[in-house]
Amino acid sequence: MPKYNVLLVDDHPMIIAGFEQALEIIKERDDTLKFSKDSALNCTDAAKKILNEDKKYDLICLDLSLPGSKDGEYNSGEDLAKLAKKSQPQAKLLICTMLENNYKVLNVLRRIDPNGFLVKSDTNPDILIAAIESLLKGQTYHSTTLQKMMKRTIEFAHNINEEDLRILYLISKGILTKNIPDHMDLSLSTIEKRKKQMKSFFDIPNTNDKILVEKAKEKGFL
Amino acid sequence: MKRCIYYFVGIIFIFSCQDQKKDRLKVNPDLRDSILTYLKEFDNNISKEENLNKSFQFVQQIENDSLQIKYLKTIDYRALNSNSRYYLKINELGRHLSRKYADTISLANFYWNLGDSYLNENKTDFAYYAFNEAAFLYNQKNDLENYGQMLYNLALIQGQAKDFTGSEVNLIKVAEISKEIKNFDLLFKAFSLLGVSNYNLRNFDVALEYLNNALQALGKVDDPDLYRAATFNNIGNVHEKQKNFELAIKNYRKTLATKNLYERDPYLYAMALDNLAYNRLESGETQNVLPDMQNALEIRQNIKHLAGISISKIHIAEYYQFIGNTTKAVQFAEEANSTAQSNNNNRDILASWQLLADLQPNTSYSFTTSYINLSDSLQVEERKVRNKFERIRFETEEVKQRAEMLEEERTIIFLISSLIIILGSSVFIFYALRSKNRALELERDQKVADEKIYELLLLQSARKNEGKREERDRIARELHDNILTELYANRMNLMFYKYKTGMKGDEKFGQLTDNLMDVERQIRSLSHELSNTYFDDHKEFGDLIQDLIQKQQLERSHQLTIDDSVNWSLIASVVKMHTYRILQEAIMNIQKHAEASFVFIKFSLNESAKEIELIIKDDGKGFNNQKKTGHWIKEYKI
Repeated sequence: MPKYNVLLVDDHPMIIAGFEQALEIIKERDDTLKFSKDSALNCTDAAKKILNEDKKYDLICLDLSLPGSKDGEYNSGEDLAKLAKKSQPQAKLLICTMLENNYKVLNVLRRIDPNGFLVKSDTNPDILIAAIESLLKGQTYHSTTLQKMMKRTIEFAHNINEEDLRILYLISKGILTKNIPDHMDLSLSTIEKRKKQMKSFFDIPNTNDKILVEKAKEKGFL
Repeated sequence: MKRCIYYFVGIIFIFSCQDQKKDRLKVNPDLRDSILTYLKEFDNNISKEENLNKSFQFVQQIENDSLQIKYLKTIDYRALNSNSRYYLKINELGRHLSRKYADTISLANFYWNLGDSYLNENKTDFAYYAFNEAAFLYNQKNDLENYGQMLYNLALIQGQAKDFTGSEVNLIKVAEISKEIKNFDLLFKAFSLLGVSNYNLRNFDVALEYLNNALQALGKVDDPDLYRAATFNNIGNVHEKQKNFELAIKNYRKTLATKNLYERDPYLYAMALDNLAYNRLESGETQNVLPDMQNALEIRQNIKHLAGISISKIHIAEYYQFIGNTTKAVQFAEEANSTAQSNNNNRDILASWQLLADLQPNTSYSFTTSYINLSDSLQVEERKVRNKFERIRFETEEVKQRAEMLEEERTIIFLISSLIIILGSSVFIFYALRSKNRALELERDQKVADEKIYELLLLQSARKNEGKREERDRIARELHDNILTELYANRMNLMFYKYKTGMKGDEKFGQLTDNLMDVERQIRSLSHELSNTYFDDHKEFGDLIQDLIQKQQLERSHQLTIDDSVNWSLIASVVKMHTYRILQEAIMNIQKHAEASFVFIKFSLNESAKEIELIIKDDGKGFNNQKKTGHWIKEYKI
């Protein structure tokens, strides 16, 4: 009779309630399962619980946008996920976010590689349940939007690295190329080189950044 | 251009001069005809005075001064030669006009004639004055020929007045001038007169030298016979005074040997004959002396040469004295005296008195007293005349000096005025340049201000957009983070509720939750659109252009196509500003003048050439590029 410790982190109690209902439904379907549920509404609480060594979690469900901790150490679900990977390595991570920003989602995927990734808009009770079940079985789960996203980026994924993505992101935010070195740890010439490379990957003329950004969006990098 | 104007002015000047000349020739043909008629009658010796007076009156009617001067000269010459009583009037008017017209040569000419006229009337001091003026004027005009002639005239007058020293000074000048201008006639005259002067000063050796010089000068004179004869006579006189009677006789004979001398110059012939006879008498010969002397007297009486008659008679008286016939001697001496007195010939009066005193020792006292009185008064008279000459000369000098002073003053005035003009013009140029500079500065300031205004405009627009974007981002975030999450949470819970209560068959419920999901999707995409429109927003300059076009209401009046592919954020604001101004001007022109209905505006960036291409096309009537280079076309070529 396996018992699972589950940590639910979301700033909306209603969503936590949703997770809890999902877990109850799973339990109803399979009586052998038992869940011990913890929840946190902000980073501070969540971090405290993750850092608690007495309790080993089997599943941690994380929202990405969360109110940051007061000491400023943890500002998002991503930070918590990193923390969890360190102090609760056994725990399966399920990211469940409202974000559909390709850049951020891809970044999280690359950096954390969670066991499951749900985009909330895709979600309905069936998907949520399926995701939890898959993770508990040791499988991964990605919701449809995410699957599409990964499929789109697959073409250039091995050419575009994290720094490239950051450059694209900054450009898309309207930051001038010459100012990008202020935002990341690269020299201007490197940035220009990267941009040029990306343009050649995307097979676009070396003209307008606008086209580059559009292409990146089209290819799912932004 | 300026040079052209100068030429133009020059040409006008020349034309006007020519016109004046033509006018001169045109003036009063009737008047001229009548003057010429009267002058012709004058020349034909028909009632000379009357005709001269009439022509003078007509000449006075001529309005043109220079023409009047010309005619006055003609009648002045005729009046002088005919000793007319109108002469002084004519001459005075002539001088007046020439002075007024600053015609120096004519003025000098009038003075010359005036001097001749006075000389005819024996008014030597007036003549001296006139010749002196003429000499001064000719010298001023550098007319050496006439200047020398005038000096000679002056010397002649001085010599007659026994101012031999003054005469000599002038004559030496004349000699220099005549050598310079190679006028040997004048040179001869000068040397000759110098000889006579020195003879009168009793410098006989010097006199001989000058007279020999005169003979040499004759070598280049055309018709030297008479001159030579006169010179030999003069040389004879000198030798006579030196008591070299042999040499004197030789020279007198040379004079008399001149061909046809009696016919050509009876004066000289009689003189030489008389002198020869007298010298022979002095050297002790008596043969043929009296007949020769009587012959000479006869000739002189025939030609009414009074001075010659008196000297001839004195010589005859001396002859009679020599041969001891006192009665005859006294008779001739008294005759000589009365002739000389009638003639005011002081030399001969004195000589006759001296002779009478010698001949009549009893009454010699009264003769001697008369002699002394006369010679004293003569000396006083001579001194007076000399003083007068000095004064005239001095006055002329003074006038000269004054003229020089005036000249100097004029030079100074000219210098000062030209300095003032130069200063004035340089001040003017300075101010003109400065105002030009100021205008340029203002223009530059204007440009700078324009650029500033434009930058402010851009900044304003950027701020506006920044605010817009920030607000949009905030709304997008709000939609995404709160409303969407809220909606999602509720939907999830609703769905779980449906799950729990097992209302699987309730189609309507499923539909509602699906609708909610749809709403979520819409809100999400809305939020995305709101937050991801950076590149569409980032066209501040494009916005300005749009604003401009809206403001000018170009879209209302024309069918407008705009193609803008330039990322204006990379372009320098100066370029943008000019582009803006050009576009503004062009739109205004299109609306005002082009009468177009379609307008096409295209911006494109030529990155390699670093150029912005702005094409503004319309289907209006166009403009003639050559006809007028409008201001705005120039502006386009920045």
